[in-house]
Amino acid sequence: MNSLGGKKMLVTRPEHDPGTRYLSRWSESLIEDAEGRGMQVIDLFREKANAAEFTGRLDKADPSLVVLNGHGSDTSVTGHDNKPLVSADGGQARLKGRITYAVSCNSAAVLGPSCGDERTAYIGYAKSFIFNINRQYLTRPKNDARAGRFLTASNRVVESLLSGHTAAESSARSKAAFLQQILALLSSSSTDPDDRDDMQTLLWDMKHQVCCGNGDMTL
Amino acid sequence: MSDEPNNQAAVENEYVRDLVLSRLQLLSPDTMKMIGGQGPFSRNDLIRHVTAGDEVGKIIEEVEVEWMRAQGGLLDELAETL
Repeated sequence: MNSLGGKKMLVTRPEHDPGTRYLSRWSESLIEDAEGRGMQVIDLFREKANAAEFTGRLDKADPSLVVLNGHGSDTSVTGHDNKPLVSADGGQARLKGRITYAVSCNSAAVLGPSCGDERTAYIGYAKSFIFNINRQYLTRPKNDARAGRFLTASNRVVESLLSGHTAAESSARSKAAFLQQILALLSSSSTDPDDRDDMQTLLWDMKHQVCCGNGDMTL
Repeated sequence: MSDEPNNQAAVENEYVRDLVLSRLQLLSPDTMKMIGGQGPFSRNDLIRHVTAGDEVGKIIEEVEVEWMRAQGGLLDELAETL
Protein backbone atom coordinates (compact mmCIF):
# COMPACT_ATOMS: atom_id res chain seq x y z
CA MET A 1 0.00 0.00 0.00
CA ASN A 2 1.26 3.46 -0.95
CA SER A 3 2.15 5.30 2.28
CA LEU A 4 1.15 8.95 2.39
CA GLY A 5 2.13 9.73 5.97
CA GLY A 6 2.48 13.47 6.54
CA LYS A 7 0.30 14.36 3.54
CA LYS A 8 -3.12 15.91 3.91
CA MET A 9 -6.41 15.63 2.08
CA LEU A 10 -9.20 18.17 2.38
CA VAL A 11 -12.68 16.99 1.40
CA THR A 12 -15.88 19.05 1.31
CA ARG A 13 -19.11 17.19 2.03
CA PRO A 14 -22.16 19.46 1.95
CA GLU A 15 -25.41 17.60 2.57
CA HIS A 16 -28.25 20.01 1.90
CA ASP A 17 -30.06 18.08 -0.84
CA PRO A 18 -30.21 14.51 -2.21
CA GLY A 19 -27.41 15.07 -4.73
CA THR A 20 -24.90 16.36 -2.21
CA ARG A 21 -26.00 13.72 0.32
CA TYR A 22 -25.17 10.97 -2.17
CA LEU A 23 -21.77 12.47 -2.99
CA SER A 24 -21.01 12.94 0.70
CA ARG A 25 -21.87 9.39 1.70
CA TRP A 26 -20.01 7.84 -1.22
CA SER A 27 -16.93 9.86 -0.17
CA GLU A 28 -16.73 8.10 3.20
CA SER A 29 -14.73 5.22 1.70
CA LEU A 30 -12.24 7.71 0.26
CA ILE A 31 -11.70 9.21 3.70
CA GLU A 32 -11.11 5.73 5.13
CA ASP A 33 -8.71 4.91 2.30
CA ALA A 34 -6.71 8.12 2.83
CA GLU A 35 -6.57 7.67 6.61
CA GLY A 36 -5.52 4.05 6.12
CA ARG A 37 -2.53 5.32 4.17
CA GLY A 38 -1.51 7.67 6.95
CA MET A 39 -2.95 10.87 5.49
CA GLN A 40 -4.50 13.49 7.71
CA VAL A 41 -8.02 14.16 6.44
CA ILE A 42 -9.70 17.54 6.89
CA ASP A 43 -13.39 16.73 6.53
CA LEU A 44 -15.56 19.81 5.93
CA PHE A 45 -18.91 18.13 6.59
CA ARG A 46 -22.32 19.80 6.17
CA GLU A 47 -22.24 23.38 7.57
CA LYS A 48 -18.45 23.25 7.80
CA ALA A 49 -18.34 23.20 4.01
CA ASN A 50 -18.30 27.01 3.90
CA ALA A 51 -15.92 29.53 2.37
CA ALA A 52 -14.36 30.68 5.65
CA GLU A 53 -13.53 27.12 6.81
CA PHE A 54 -12.39 26.13 3.34
CA THR A 55 -9.96 28.99 2.81
CA GLY A 56 -8.76 28.89 6.40
CA ARG A 57 -7.98 25.18 6.29
CA LEU A 58 -6.32 25.44 2.89
CA ASP A 59 -4.04 28.21 4.15
CA LYS A 60 -3.26 26.60 7.50
CA ALA A 61 -3.08 22.87 6.72
CA ASP A 62 -1.80 23.15 3.15
CA PRO A 63 -3.35 19.88 1.87
CA SER A 64 -1.82 18.29 -1.23
CA LEU A 65 -5.19 16.81 -2.30
CA VAL A 66 -8.52 18.66 -2.38
CA VAL A 67 -11.78 16.82 -3.10
CA LEU A 68 -14.75 19.07 -3.76
CA ASN A 69 -18.22 17.53 -3.61
CA GLY A 70 -20.90 20.05 -4.48
CA HIS A 71 -22.73 21.92 -7.11
CA GLY A 72 -20.82 23.91 -9.65
CA SER A 73 -20.85 26.25 -12.59
CA ASP A 74 -18.30 27.10 -15.25
CA THR A 75 -16.54 29.40 -12.81
CA SER A 76 -17.22 28.09 -9.30
CA VAL A 77 -17.88 25.21 -6.91
CA THR A 78 -20.22 25.63 -3.97
CA GLY A 79 -20.45 24.18 -0.48
CA HIS A 80 -23.30 23.69 1.97
CA ASP A 81 -26.52 25.46 0.95
CA ASN A 82 -24.96 26.22 -2.43
CA LYS A 83 -22.80 29.01 -1.04
CA PRO A 84 -19.65 29.59 -3.13
CA LEU A 85 -16.43 27.96 -1.90
CA VAL A 86 -14.04 28.74 -4.70
CA SER A 87 -14.39 30.65 -7.92
CA ALA A 88 -12.36 31.83 -10.88
CA ASP A 89 -12.42 35.44 -9.72
CA GLY A 90 -9.14 35.02 -7.85
CA GLY A 91 -10.08 32.40 -5.25
CA GLN A 92 -8.66 29.70 -7.49
CA ALA A 93 -5.17 30.80 -6.47
CA ARG A 94 -5.65 28.81 -3.26
CA LEU A 95 -5.76 25.61 -5.32
CA LYS A 96 -2.32 26.25 -6.82
CA GLY A 97 0.30 23.69 -5.92
CA ARG A 98 -2.31 21.00 -5.20
CA ILE A 99 -4.26 18.27 -6.95
CA THR A 100 -8.00 18.96 -6.93
CA TYR A 101 -10.84 16.66 -7.93
CA ALA A 102 -14.18 18.45 -8.23
CA VAL A 103 -17.23 16.20 -8.31
CA SER A 104 -19.48 18.93 -9.56
CA CYS A 105 -20.97 20.26 -12.75
CA ASN A 106 -19.12 22.36 -15.29
CA SER A 107 -16.22 23.60 -13.16
CA ALA A 108 -13.57 22.18 -15.50
CA ALA A 109 -14.85 24.54 -18.20
CA VAL A 110 -13.36 27.74 -16.75
CA LEU A 111 -12.37 27.31 -13.08
CA GLY A 112 -10.22 24.23 -13.75
CA PRO A 113 -8.18 25.71 -16.61
CA SER A 114 -7.84 28.98 -14.67
CA CYS A 115 -5.96 27.29 -11.84
CA GLY A 116 -4.12 24.66 -13.86
CA ASP A 117 -0.40 25.28 -14.22
CA GLU A 118 2.91 23.40 -13.93
CA ARG A 119 2.51 22.81 -10.19
CA THR A 120 -1.26 22.31 -10.14
CA ALA A 121 -3.70 19.71 -11.42
CA TYR A 122 -7.47 20.05 -11.54
CA ILE A 123 -9.69 17.13 -12.49
CA GLY A 124 -13.37 17.85 -12.99
CA TYR A 125 -16.24 17.91 -15.43
CA ALA A 126 -16.48 20.40 -18.28
CA LYS A 127 -20.24 19.90 -18.51
CA SER A 128 -22.89 18.63 -16.08
CA PHE A 129 -21.94 15.72 -13.84
CA ILE A 130 -25.08 13.59 -13.97
CA PHE A 131 -25.94 10.43 -12.08
CA ASN A 132 -29.04 8.32 -11.72
CA ILE A 133 -30.43 6.95 -8.49
CA ASN A 134 -33.22 4.67 -7.35
CA ARG A 135 -35.58 6.77 -5.22
CA GLN A 136 -36.13 3.78 -2.92
CA TYR A 137 -32.63 4.46 -1.56
CA LEU A 138 -32.87 8.21 -0.99
CA THR A 139 -32.32 7.71 2.74
CA ARG A 140 -29.70 4.97 2.25
CA PRO A 141 -27.46 6.33 -0.54
CA LYS A 142 -24.63 3.85 -0.04
CA ASN A 143 -27.01 0.94 -0.66
CA ASP A 144 -28.11 2.34 -4.02
CA ALA A 145 -26.43 0.08 -6.56
CA ARG A 146 -27.69 2.19 -9.42
CA ALA A 147 -25.94 5.30 -8.11
CA GLY A 148 -22.95 3.10 -7.40
CA ARG A 149 -22.38 2.60 -11.12
CA PHE A 150 -21.56 6.29 -11.37
CA LEU A 151 -20.00 7.04 -8.02
CA THR A 152 -17.60 4.09 -7.92
CA ALA A 153 -16.29 5.19 -11.33
CA SER A 154 -15.98 8.77 -10.07
CA ASN A 155 -14.26 7.62 -6.87
CA ARG A 156 -11.61 5.89 -8.96
CA VAL A 157 -9.95 9.30 -9.48
CA VAL A 158 -9.13 9.69 -5.78
CA GLU A 159 -8.43 5.99 -5.22
CA SER A 160 -5.88 6.12 -8.05
CA LEU A 161 -4.25 9.28 -6.71
CA LEU A 162 -3.95 7.65 -3.29
CA SER A 163 -2.37 4.61 -4.96
CA GLY A 164 0.39 6.78 -6.39
CA HIS A 165 -0.85 7.39 -9.91
CA THR A 166 -0.44 10.75 -11.61
CA ALA A 167 -3.37 13.11 -12.06
CA ALA A 168 -3.70 12.24 -15.75
CA GLU A 169 -3.45 8.50 -15.04
CA SER A 170 -6.06 8.81 -12.30
CA SER A 171 -8.49 10.52 -14.64
CA ALA A 172 -7.84 7.88 -17.30
CA ARG A 173 -8.45 5.10 -14.77
CA SER A 174 -11.71 6.72 -13.75
CA LYS A 175 -12.78 6.96 -17.38
CA ALA A 176 -11.87 3.30 -17.80
CA ALA A 177 -14.11 2.51 -14.83
CA PHE A 178 -17.00 4.41 -16.46
CA LEU A 179 -16.38 2.46 -19.66
CA GLN A 180 -16.31 -0.85 -17.77
CA GLN A 181 -19.72 -0.04 -16.33
CA ILE A 182 -21.04 0.71 -19.82
CA LEU A 183 -19.57 -2.47 -21.29
CA ALA A 184 -20.97 -4.56 -18.44
CA LEU A 185 -24.44 -3.19 -19.15
CA LEU A 186 -24.00 -3.65 -22.91
CA SER A 187 -22.94 -7.26 -22.51
CA SER A 188 -25.71 -8.09 -20.06
CA SER A 189 -28.21 -8.23 -22.98
CA SER A 190 -30.55 -6.32 -20.71
CA THR A 191 -33.38 -4.48 -22.40
CA ASP A 192 -34.22 -2.57 -19.24
CA PRO A 193 -34.79 1.11 -20.20
CA ASP A 194 -33.19 2.15 -16.90
CA ASP A 195 -29.99 0.35 -17.89
CA ARG A 196 -30.00 2.09 -21.25
CA ASP A 197 -30.38 5.44 -19.56
CA ASP A 198 -27.52 4.60 -17.21
CA MET A 199 -25.29 3.70 -20.16
CA GLN A 200 -26.02 7.03 -21.85
CA THR A 201 -25.34 8.97 -18.69
CA LEU A 202 -22.16 7.05 -17.85
CA LEU A 203 -20.85 7.81 -21.32
CA TRP A 204 -21.67 11.50 -20.85
CA ASP A 205 -19.76 11.70 -17.56
CA MET A 206 -16.82 9.78 -18.99
CA LYS A 207 -16.54 12.09 -21.99
CA HIS A 208 -16.73 15.31 -20.01
CA GLN A 209 -14.27 14.47 -17.23
CA VAL A 210 -11.04 16.37 -17.92
CA CYS A 211 -7.66 16.86 -16.29
CA CYS A 212 -6.35 20.44 -16.42
CA GLY A 213 -2.86 21.65 -15.56
CA ASN A 214 0.06 19.33 -14.90
CA GLY A 215 -1.16 15.78 -15.47
CA ASP A 216 2.16 14.36 -14.27
CA MET A 217 1.59 15.48 -10.68
CA THR A 218 1.38 12.88 -7.94
CA LEU A 219 0.62 13.19 -4.23
CA MET B 1 -31.28 32.05 -50.18
CA SER B 2 -32.46 28.56 -49.31
CA ASP B 3 -33.58 27.81 -45.76
CA GLU B 4 -33.10 24.08 -46.29
CA PRO B 5 -30.30 23.69 -43.69
CA ASN B 6 -32.47 25.37 -41.04
CA ASN B 7 -35.38 23.15 -41.94
CA GLN B 8 -33.17 20.08 -41.70
CA ALA B 9 -31.88 21.14 -38.28
CA ALA B 10 -35.44 21.68 -37.08
CA VAL B 11 -36.44 18.22 -38.29
CA GLU B 12 -33.42 16.68 -36.57
CA ASN B 13 -34.17 18.53 -33.32
CA GLU B 14 -37.76 17.35 -33.40
CA TYR B 15 -36.59 13.80 -34.08
CA VAL B 16 -34.23 13.88 -31.10
CA ARG B 17 -36.89 15.36 -28.81
CA ASP B 18 -39.43 12.70 -29.81
CA LEU B 19 -36.84 9.98 -29.30
CA VAL B 20 -35.91 11.29 -25.87
CA LEU B 21 -39.53 11.61 -24.79
CA SER B 22 -40.36 8.08 -25.90
CA ARG B 23 -37.31 6.78 -24.03
CA LEU B 24 -38.07 8.71 -20.86
CA GLN B 25 -41.61 7.36 -20.78
CA LEU B 26 -40.16 3.84 -20.47
CA LEU B 27 -38.07 4.62 -17.39
CA SER B 28 -39.11 3.09 -14.10
CA PRO B 29 -40.96 5.41 -11.73
CA ASP B 30 -38.15 4.86 -9.21
CA THR B 31 -35.67 6.63 -11.48
CA MET B 32 -34.35 9.96 -10.33
CA LYS B 33 -31.67 11.93 -12.15
CA MET B 34 -29.22 14.24 -10.42
CA ILE B 35 -28.09 17.10 -12.64
CA GLY B 36 -26.02 19.42 -10.55
CA GLY B 37 -27.86 21.85 -8.37
CA GLN B 38 -30.97 21.56 -10.48
CA GLY B 39 -32.15 18.15 -9.37
CA PRO B 40 -33.27 15.66 -8.46
CA PHE B 41 -35.60 15.04 -11.36
CA SER B 42 -38.21 12.31 -11.53
CA ARG B 43 -39.19 10.66 -14.80
CA ASN B 44 -42.18 12.98 -15.11
CA ASP B 45 -40.04 16.04 -14.27
CA LEU B 46 -37.66 15.08 -17.08
CA ILE B 47 -40.51 14.66 -19.55
CA ARG B 48 -41.80 18.12 -18.63
CA HIS B 49 -38.39 19.73 -19.09
CA VAL B 50 -37.76 18.09 -22.46
CA THR B 51 -41.24 19.05 -23.65
CA ALA B 52 -40.62 22.64 -22.56
CA GLY B 53 -37.23 22.66 -24.32
CA ASP B 54 -35.60 24.41 -21.36
CA GLU B 55 -32.02 24.16 -20.09
CA VAL B 56 -32.51 20.80 -18.35
CA GLY B 57 -34.37 19.44 -21.36
CA LYS B 58 -31.52 20.49 -23.65
CA ILE B 59 -29.00 18.65 -21.45
CA ILE B 60 -31.06 15.46 -21.65
CA GLU B 61 -31.22 15.82 -25.43
CA GLU B 62 -27.45 16.37 -25.59
CA VAL B 63 -26.90 13.15 -23.62
CA GLU B 64 -29.06 11.30 -26.15
CA VAL B 65 -27.21 12.78 -29.13
CA GLU B 66 -23.83 11.82 -27.69
CA TRP B 67 -25.07 8.29 -27.14
CA MET B 68 -26.27 8.04 -30.72
CA ARG B 69 -22.86 9.19 -31.92
CA ALA B 70 -21.21 6.60 -29.67
CA GLN B 71 -23.29 3.89 -31.23
CA GLY B 72 -21.68 4.91 -34.49
CA GLY B 73 -18.39 3.51 -33.24
CA LEU B 74 -17.20 6.00 -30.68
CA LEU B 75 -17.25 3.45 -27.89
CA ASP B 76 -14.70 1.32 -29.71
CA GLU B 77 -12.52 4.36 -30.33
CA LEU B 78 -12.69 5.36 -26.69
CA ALA B 79 -11.86 1.84 -25.58
CA GLU B 80 -8.70 1.94 -27.68
CA THR B 81 -7.58 5.22 -26.18
CA LEU B 82 -7.94 4.15 -22.56
